[in-house]
Amino acid sequence: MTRLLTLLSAWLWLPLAAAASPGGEPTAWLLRMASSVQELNYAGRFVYSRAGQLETMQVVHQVDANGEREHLLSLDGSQREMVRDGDSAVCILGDQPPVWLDRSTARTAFPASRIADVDRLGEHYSLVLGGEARVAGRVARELAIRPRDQLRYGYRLLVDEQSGLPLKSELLGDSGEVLEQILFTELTLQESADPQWMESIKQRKQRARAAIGHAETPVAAAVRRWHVAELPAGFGIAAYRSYPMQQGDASVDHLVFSDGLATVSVYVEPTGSESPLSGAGRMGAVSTYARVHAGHQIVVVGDVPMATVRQIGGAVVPAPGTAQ
Amino acid sequence: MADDRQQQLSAFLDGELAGPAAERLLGELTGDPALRAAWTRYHLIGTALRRGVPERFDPDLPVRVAAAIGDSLPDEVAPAAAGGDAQPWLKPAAGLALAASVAALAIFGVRLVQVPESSAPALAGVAAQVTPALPAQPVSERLDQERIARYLLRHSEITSSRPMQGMLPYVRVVSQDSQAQSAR
Repeated sequence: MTRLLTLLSAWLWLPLAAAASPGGEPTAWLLRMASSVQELNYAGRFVYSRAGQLETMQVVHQVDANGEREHLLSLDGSQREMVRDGDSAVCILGDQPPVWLDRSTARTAFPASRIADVDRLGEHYSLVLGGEARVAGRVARELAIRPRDQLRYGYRLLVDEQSGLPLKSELLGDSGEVLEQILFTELTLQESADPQWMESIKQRKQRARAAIGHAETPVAAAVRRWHVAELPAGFGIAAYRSYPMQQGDASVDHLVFSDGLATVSVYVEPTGSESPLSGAGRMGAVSTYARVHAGHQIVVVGDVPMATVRQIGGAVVPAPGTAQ
Repeated sequence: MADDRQQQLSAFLDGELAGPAAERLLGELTGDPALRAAWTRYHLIGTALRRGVPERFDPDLPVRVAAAIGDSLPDEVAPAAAGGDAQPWLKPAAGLALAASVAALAIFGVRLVQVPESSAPALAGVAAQVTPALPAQPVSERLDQERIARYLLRHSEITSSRPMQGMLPYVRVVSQDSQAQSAR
């Protein structure tokens, strides 16, 4: 707790994420990175690699009194981009209908998550600050986040000394293999947001929102009907939402679990007209597990090893005192 | 593009190039269309080795299609970690029909690979190799790419609010093959 307070006070004291180098404390580097990603104005290009695929992307992120706006654009293949204004975002994915994402309930689900997350990371990960490296022509510091067991993945980050932004992020599997990677090749920082750009992003999002029409907004569930009897070490419930997955569907209960870094989602819904899903699978670094229990479809997804989604999925039961 | 770049790319795909050299190579892909084209070609070669050349293909075919038609298993995420032989090209999708895999690719660019319930995760790859013509999944063990993608999209929505995750959740959604078949 003392350590948390020390961190917290150090944190509040910093006027801007980029204002000072966090010295030799790895948790301070991690906190600084988390806030830099959200609070700084930057534009850059990066290579995203996963499952033998490489792709180049471009990101522009700016912040003013109205909040964050962000534009993420794939530079290869068909037009695919994400336009975000605060907590809501529109994904334009080729010639598919645009997809609306609203994370406002997610944000309230993780109150003050940065400090709390980092404080409990140490139990299940070891954080090691490494040496200096050069990425995208900038000086970076290596930060390794190694899991203490096989229930979660590790990360290797190269964090920009000047800004705190992650110039390179690797998600590492059990034997240290790189499951996913983001590597910046160019990065520019700006002092302040460009009002014209901010306005254009806002308008694009509004137009897309109007074109989409009806969209379900996930809300926090009033009644928590399901729970996981035995969670893997370090995981706790972070959110419980309820919403129809698609318009006209019955509501699905969406339980979110986190160990401070990794996040696992559990979905529970009555089995409907679609044939039940069952089994385990992987999509890149994401593991997924499905089974049917008590007339309900249970689906678990998370960027954690297969054993973790299996363990969680196998322990989903009706919450005590609730009738199904 | 200089020949040594191509050789490096080939070495990278074979898992023989790692560390700073591999990072430099990835960096150069951003600004070098020729190098990216070579990447696509090598993927097609790999596909051809395994299944025969597609009847026709666009020479400008994006990497994602080359990957989608047969060689984007998660096991190949890190070419540097691969065995260094031709093995990655030979792995069929475990139990999943390859037919129409391009159209079936949903929100997330990589195909869902089912892991048999009965085998330990470490054995899954081996099982897939010795049963190349696995029949359709038994009803009792079945995942559906498009439906799983819906859950993944909502998962990304919530993980994107976590600053520790950086940009990864949205990058996953926007990435190659993110043809949102099922996310309406």
